Amino acid sequence: MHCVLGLLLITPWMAGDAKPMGTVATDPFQKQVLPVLEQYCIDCHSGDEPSAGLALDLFTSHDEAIKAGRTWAKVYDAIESKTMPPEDAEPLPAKDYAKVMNWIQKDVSYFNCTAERNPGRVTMRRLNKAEYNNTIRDLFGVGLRPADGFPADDVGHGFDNIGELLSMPPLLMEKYLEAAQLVSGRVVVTHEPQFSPVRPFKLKDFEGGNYNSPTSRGLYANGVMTHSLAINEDGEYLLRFGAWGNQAGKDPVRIEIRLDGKPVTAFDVEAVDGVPDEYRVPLQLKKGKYKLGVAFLNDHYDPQAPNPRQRDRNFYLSSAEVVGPMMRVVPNTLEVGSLQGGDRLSKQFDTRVMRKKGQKVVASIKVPETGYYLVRTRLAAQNVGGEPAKVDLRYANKVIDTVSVKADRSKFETSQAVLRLPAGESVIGWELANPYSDPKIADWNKKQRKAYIEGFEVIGPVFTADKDLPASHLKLTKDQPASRDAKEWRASAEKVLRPLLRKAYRRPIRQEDLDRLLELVEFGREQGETYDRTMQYAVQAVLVSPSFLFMVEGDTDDANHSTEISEHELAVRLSYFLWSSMPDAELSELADHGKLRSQLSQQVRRMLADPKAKSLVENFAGQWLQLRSLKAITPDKKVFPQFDESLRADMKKESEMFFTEVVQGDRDVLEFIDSDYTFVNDRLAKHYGLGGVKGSEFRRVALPKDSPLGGVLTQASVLTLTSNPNRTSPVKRGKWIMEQILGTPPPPPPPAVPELSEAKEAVEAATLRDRLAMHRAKPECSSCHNKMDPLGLAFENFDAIGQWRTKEGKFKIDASGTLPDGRSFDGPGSLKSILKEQPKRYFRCLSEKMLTYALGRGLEYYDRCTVDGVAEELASGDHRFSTLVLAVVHSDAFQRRGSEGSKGE
Amino acid sequence: MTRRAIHRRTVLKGLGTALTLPWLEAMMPRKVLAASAVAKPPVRLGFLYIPNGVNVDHWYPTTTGFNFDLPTSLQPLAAFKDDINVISGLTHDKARSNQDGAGDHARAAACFLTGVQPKKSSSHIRTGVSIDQIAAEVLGNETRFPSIEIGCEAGRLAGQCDSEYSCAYSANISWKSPTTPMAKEVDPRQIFDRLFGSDNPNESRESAARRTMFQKSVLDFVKDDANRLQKKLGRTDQRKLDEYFTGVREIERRIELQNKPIDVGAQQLTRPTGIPRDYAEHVGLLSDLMVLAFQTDSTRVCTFMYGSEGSGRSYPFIGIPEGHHELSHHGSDPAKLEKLARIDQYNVTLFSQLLEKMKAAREGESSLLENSVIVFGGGINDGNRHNNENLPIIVAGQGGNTILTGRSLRYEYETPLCNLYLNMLDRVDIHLPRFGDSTGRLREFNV
Repeated sequence: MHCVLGLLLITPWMAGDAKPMGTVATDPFQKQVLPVLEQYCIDCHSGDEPSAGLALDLFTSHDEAIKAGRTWAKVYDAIESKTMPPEDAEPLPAKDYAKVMNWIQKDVSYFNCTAERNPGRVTMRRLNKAEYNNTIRDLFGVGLRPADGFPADDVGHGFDNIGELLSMPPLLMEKYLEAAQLVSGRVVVTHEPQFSPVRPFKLKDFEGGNYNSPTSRGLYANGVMTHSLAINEDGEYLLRFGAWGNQAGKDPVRIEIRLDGKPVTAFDVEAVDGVPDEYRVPLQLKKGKYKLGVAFLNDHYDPQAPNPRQRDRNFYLSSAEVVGPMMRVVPNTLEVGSLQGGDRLSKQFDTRVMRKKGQKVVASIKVPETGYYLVRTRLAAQNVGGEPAKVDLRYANKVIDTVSVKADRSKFETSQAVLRLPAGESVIGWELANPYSDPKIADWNKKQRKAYIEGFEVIGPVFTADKDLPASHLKLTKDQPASRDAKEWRASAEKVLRPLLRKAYRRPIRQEDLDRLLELVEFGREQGETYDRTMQYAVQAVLVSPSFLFMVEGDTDDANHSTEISEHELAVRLSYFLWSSMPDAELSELADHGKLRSQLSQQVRRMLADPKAKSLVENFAGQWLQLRSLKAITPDKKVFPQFDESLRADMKKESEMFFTEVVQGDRDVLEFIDSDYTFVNDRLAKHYGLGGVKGSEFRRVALPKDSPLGGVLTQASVLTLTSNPNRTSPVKRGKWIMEQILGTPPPPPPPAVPELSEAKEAVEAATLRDRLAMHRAKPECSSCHNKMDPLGLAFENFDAIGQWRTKEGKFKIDASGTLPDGRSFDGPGSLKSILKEQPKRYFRCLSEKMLTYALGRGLEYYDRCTVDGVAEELASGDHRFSTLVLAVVHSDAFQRRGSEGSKGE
Repeated sequence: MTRRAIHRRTVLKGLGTALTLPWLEAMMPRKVLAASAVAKPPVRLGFLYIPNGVNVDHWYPTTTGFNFDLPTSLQPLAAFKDDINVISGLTHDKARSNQDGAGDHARAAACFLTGVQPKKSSSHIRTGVSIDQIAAEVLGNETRFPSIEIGCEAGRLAGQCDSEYSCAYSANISWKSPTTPMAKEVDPRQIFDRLFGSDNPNESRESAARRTMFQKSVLDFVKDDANRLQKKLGRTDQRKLDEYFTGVREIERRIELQNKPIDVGAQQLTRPTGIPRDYAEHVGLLSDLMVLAFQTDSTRVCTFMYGSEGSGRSYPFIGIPEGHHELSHHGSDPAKLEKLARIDQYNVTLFSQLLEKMKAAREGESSLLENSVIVFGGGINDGNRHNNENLPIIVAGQGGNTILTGRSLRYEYETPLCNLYLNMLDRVDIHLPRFGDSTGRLREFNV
């Protein structure tokens, strides 16, 4: 680091009135620590621009100094790791080292691990993208991934689940609402009138009442208006009509809907005087002929009423229509490809024209699951000859539907067909079935019959038979109320919503939570919605509520002491840690009975063995090992023509399977550094030069004794993501090891430091190793690069995409080196042995990473004892993965929550 | 539910290529058209960010005033020379270390529109409210979206971003509050759907009203839940809930504005299919959507990050396989500097394509560009030195005939960039006494 000498050494004890140092011997800080700091540190770490932002000239007394826990944590780490004093400065004698370290350990409270620890406070965390997707999956048993379209979660401390950072900008709120609508439409599949045929009735054609105009037919006394209704297909229908009343007397107009004279439902029409409301009555009808009746039930006449408008109560119908038969549709518009083929109408528009035999317009569609889908096509025609243009919709060499197109180009019309499609991509097509050219018309452009396609959309899936409905639907709507009676609805809804709410909120629910949700259902009932529709609204409300979106933890009343989190909160922390999802039934039940804590270890083991623990690979390993970055790496095609997307996928797969093996096989975590096995398929085996592997499926292979492979450091994924596009980067590799394995990230380079020359002459003149050495010779670079470069150079035998090599250009690779502590190595194998020999730093690093991820907050200076505890636990015994997880889970930081007052930053 | 109308799904042929949009006038909301007939069309503000500084040798004009020389990197702007001001000399002091040590990239982006020194932390993020959000607070009352935030790079996938700064700093320039960055959208399809997608012609007016009604009651429900929750939370958790309430309010406001996207008429726009792999196409699509959002008066404020600060994007399509960030530490290597200039020029070309579209978009007698103020630039001067004085800044558009363009303007070193923002907000009748570390307004900037 840069040392700014001679800056502001006017520290308080040097000011004129300060006592000579020797006389203040009672203060342990002044006595033991200050003289050492002054001699070795303060030159640089003082003044306005202290090195590394660490000022050590601010404290005059013990009492003052010990408050700065964070500062001493930094000092401790720097001295302990021998980063400080820097190489070019006077080294710290053992005696002085001990003075400072002892003081810190003994007197700075965060180093005193016997005192009460501050477990820290996790800021209320919202679900991140992965957690949202998984929670939806586990809540409803559906494979939707609605969060994929959410904005990226911000990353801090290397992870994207840090509560403080998971902010909720308005855009995200919008996405939540959309996702809730999408999910609710998929888990409860309702009849969608918007995709169903509509039959309007003319008011003139009714019998009974008085016809006034096309938008008014009235009943002035109790009576009924009727209309015939022919139903050709059994199914769900919707009667939709506009109505209003002259409201007189104390009651609103009351009407009854009848079928063949029998009452179906009765309700009040509150709309007044010429301003109709829309009313809707769902009807389940069998094929046949019916007489539909609208009866006025409560005529009222009071000629004495002072207000003339209050004298006569009348009922008016303003419109009526029957919609149906209705299909259950997931109203989700899917992604479709653009139209291909046919003639293009013009450059500006995508509209395609068909006029010849065999001239097909095609497009691709991608659907998430096998099922029926609505295909809606916008069509128009230039009609010549005796008949309208007929357009066939084709799929898999079959005509699915034929439409007669009457509309001309000024007004396209939508035709709709139902099509069964397999999950994945399919191609559908359209063709003009009856091309024709009118010999009587001379204009060549006008004589041909043409059909135009403006565009199409695919919506669904659609459920044509109730038995095919998804399980979530059946579960959420199983208790259908027998009538529209409010009490009955409430009882039915409560049966389903109580357990749903319990699961979604991940805690015991309060009656008020449930009541409020039932109010929403009741509102839907009042508004004439179907029961299923109201369940949809309830699901939406739950999914947008903060109790679902946030992991809420209660606070203690005690401002000074931490408290143990509740069993339910513990279940939530556990499940989001190990599964990135909500607690399952077993965890919830144990928490309900207060038995989770007592069975913690066995539950953790169960959870790690569960397939859901795969999320640790995706989310923990993906970020710890930075595997997620692999997809953004773009090796230079000129240098590495063999790199392609399958190789990229293989690299990732190897690391993921390897990590999974350590988790689920409960292996020694030192295997991350070195192992005698790995996972490959034929492609990757070839990449590594491993023989005897055939077939594209991955398998575990034992590595030969002398293999440089084994562990994550020599996996192609890690080697590639720590390389430049066109060459290896020993610096990046070294930095990666320091950050992810040793937990001692080097400080960022000062600006204006030149990078290595990549000029052709330079590359041809010396190896990367030698060029790095020149770079390192500069004093401002050496203190960090002396640590980073050797670590990275040990892997020089692996090129920038992780293939073994013995030469770099014309030079032989030298992968030997010496670490700052004097230990030397030659090649990846011996470096790995060195790392394994003294794994303390690695254990501590892994503990830190796992704690950060488990807690969803950055670690603070007061977490030191917790980290030490976990690392020691891991170091003892056989370093199994479960030991690490258990130590984290049993730590105070995981089990307790700090008081508001204790919160540090 | 993503419901979309085919007949309104409307096509912008060649969305993503340089094009003129003559017919789009038909899609203009009547409000704006009517306004342009009697009064002036609204002024729109845009803030475009490029990361990693520039090759300073080819960016700054050597002369000032009119008829200045266009340096190499700005050559693509030749056709728009009369529509821009190239500004040199502006500084962001709060992007400097100021005792916070390393982390220049994080600071450069976090400070760019806030003028505030960000707190150095991996998780406890804090900077200032950004200038676009201050504008959105006022201008947003008129439009469906107070502002939109778009960009080509989502957040970082894994690992650290810059020193001990959270990735939120380098990935966002727009800040709704000192602790809430406005996340940006990177997928053109999602932006399209958000702007134009929620209208369904199959739906009757009554059903739409019904849907809105239930949307409102769902929001009422969740507010009740939030209120109950609020009583149980400590201070920091309250802040998270405040963000939640703000989001709910914003949606409610949009519902009040009838939740109706602008009827873009019978014209058709092609819905983009996703994130293009090609960078130029990506910038092109996002630029088109920005233009459309302005034209349809869906919003009047937009921030657009070509890349996150410190971006390592490589430009193999112009023969540069190295990462941008790595190259930016050029160490005065001529080969690297030459490549950097090419990257700069490339991004300026993409910017010029946006200007072309904005200029072609007519608004009555004027063009959209004339009615806008677009800042294009970054928070670092030279990527090698990470210095924050003499930032690369271009301001395009005449702000409704209130900005004299076609000039190279050079201000004394250390003039705060925030001063420019004060001038900009004057253009939309928001007269701030100060902003960030401003010391006053830029002279000679206005007409």
